[in-house]
Amino acid sequence: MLPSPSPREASPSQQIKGSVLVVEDDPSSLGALSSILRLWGWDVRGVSTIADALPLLEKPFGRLILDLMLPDGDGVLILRHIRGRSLPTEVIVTTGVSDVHRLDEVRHLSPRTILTKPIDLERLRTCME
Amino acid sequence: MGAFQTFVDWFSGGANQYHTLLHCMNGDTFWIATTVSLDLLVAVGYVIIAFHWWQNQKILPPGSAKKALAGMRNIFVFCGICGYLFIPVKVFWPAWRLYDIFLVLLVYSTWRYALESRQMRVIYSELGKSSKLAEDLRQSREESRKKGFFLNAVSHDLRTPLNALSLQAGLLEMQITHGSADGVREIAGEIKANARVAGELLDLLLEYARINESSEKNALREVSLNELLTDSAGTFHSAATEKGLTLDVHVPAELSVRTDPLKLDRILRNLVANAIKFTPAGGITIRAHEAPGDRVIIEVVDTGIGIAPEHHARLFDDFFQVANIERDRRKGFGLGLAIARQLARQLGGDIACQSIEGRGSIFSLELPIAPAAGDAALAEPARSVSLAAN
Repeated sequence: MLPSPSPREASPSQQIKGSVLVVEDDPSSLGALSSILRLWGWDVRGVSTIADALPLLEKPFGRLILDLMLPDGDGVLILRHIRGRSLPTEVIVTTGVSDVHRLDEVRHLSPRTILTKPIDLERLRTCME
Repeated sequence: MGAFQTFVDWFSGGANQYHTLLHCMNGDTFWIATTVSLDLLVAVGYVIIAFHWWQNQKILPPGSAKKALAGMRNIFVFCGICGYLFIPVKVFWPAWRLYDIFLVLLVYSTWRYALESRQMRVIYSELGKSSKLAEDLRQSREESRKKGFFLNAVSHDLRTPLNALSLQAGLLEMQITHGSADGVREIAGEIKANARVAGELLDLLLEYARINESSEKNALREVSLNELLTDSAGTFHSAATEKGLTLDVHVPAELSVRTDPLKLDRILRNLVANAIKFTPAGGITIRAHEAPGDRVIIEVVDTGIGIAPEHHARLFDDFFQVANIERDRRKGFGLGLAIARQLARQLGGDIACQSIEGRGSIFSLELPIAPAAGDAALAEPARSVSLAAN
């Protein structure tokens, strides 16, 4: 697989809308999503594991884009961590899982929305606003 | 009255007055009372059982099973009456000759119920059917669970490269809209790579479906293992060299099997591709030897990362890698070994794995030297081959 595109900064004229943490283990998706979010004016941090994500949540992020199936466990753990500490971060779950029971379990943790992969960029943009 | 007394006397044995149980027990009222009380307790127990039987049989819909159970109930009640309810009667029963009339009724009932007892096979048959239905239901649920898991796995693994593809295309569109050429070449490369990954998964799925559904017979012919294994390995030389790995084939020149060469080649390609994927340093050796029972064993030995013991049992399960949270998704979908095992079984053989984590793995393919034409029967599981011995 070719390397991910280098993350691009938001254009200087564009005002930073807020910070977003992207947790996604597929490097190609992570690279593209991070670049798109930067172009939309977000300050982006991208990680691919739960172990990398949890320490970052010590500082507040406005948004979290969270994949469920991660190499070191279930992404729901991060969502539970946020709910457990009543963090103000809005969570957008992205998943390729189509199991309705599993998605119900995630819904109970009240994410802002659950986006099924492939992600519809228009929907994502609306959710991010 | 006189005639009645005469009637009673005659049935009681006339001048040879037959004793009642009261006489037999010599008028000992304590023991008579004890006997009758115990007897009545048993009889009451019977009545309670019969009552519950009657209550519960109502829930069974009319049919042969209900009829058979009714027959059983009659037998049960009949035995209860014969065995227990008659005893108190007999205590004071003076007319023993009259008892023969009851015996005639008893004989009639006994034989009637004895013949009806044949119907009990219906109950056994119904219960057998219920057990089979329960087993079928369990299997059906298990099948359904597997299908659900399979669909989820396919959904997830297909959506991952499609998602990357869609995001990269979106990013490219945005770059073009902004008039920026930054990283366009890399984005195009990512799109191609993700399209290839999605294509590979589709190929694997199609092959997997074909193998599972296919009833096609094996195209058997005599194959020189040395030639076939060398050819199969040859296609991986560049991949191995790229990773700095050695790839050797050690097979006696005279060793041959009667098998389907295309299927055998597919199995070997899966095993060798897997070995290269999971071997960071060292090399891969393919070797073969004859085994007792007109079998051959082909081994793919690697010096790779090995497999944790807890994963050994499920290694050949469909989409094993999906359930393995430690997997590197880019290294595969976990269908390759499932496909290889299916193919091996279609050839009348099987695959086993012996692995030590951190030291490497040996995948042993055992095949009959000459299976019957079209034989797709399952073979005995392949014997484990000790890693230390190799």
